[in-house]
Amino acid sequence: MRYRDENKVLAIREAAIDMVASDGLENFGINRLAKAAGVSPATIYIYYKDKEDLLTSISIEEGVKMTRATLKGFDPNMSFKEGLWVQWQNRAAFSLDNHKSAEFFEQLRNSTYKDKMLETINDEFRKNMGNFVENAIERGEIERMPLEVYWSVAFAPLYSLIRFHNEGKSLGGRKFKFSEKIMKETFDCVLKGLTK
Amino acid sequence: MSTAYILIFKTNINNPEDRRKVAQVLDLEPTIGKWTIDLEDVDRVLRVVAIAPVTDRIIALVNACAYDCVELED
Repeated sequence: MRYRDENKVLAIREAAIDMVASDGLENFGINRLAKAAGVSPATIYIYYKDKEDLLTSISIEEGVKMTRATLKGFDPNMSFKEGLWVQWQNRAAFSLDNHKSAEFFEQLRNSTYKDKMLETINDEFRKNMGNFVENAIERGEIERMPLEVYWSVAFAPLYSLIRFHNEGKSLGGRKFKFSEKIMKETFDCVLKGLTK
Repeated sequence: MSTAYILIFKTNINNPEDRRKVAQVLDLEPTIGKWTIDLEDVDRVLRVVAIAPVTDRIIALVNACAYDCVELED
């Protein structure tokens, strides 16, 4: 009889996220993963039926984790300024604490697992974000605009800062370290750009 | 609640045609709840969820279809 060993499951998950984050999906395989996680291939098969099952399960778990972290302390009825700032703080905290997880998603983004990953961004998340924007439009805080325009202004600047931070440098090799002060300064510019 | 036994084997069930052949036997085996074969893995791993520890029975069934089947140890 084999019992579920949570430490082993955790080791498998962590090693899988690490491997995909650094090497992508092409060279990913159960045998390599087993070596990296310090378990036997048979152990991995106890928990997952194949590579696809493993990557799908991990994407779903990570997606749920990301969604929960992003919605922490957030209320779609908040004022635009307050709500967007909560979003920035949550997203920054999650991305900085879960650097590997973000890279894992980035690798999946260009793969056939993309759809499964998108399914994990659940209705609750979409509804919250949608209602937040609708409320801000109704209150006359922001103009109605295509989603892509909104996202590119509202969130892409934050992800640029996080990318600079993860790479340790920004433009022309300038050293860069993320800070709350830099985030706030960028946020204020974004707010000016979006609000009426 | 009945306990599920997860049994893991290394095989040479190489392709969908091979899988179809063993399916004719495994699908009829009452102790097997679910089974899958990872055709992408070098070990062509057969994973069986069974209601009893029927390791030898499964090896015998797969061998009877003229395929190799060895339990993969932890």
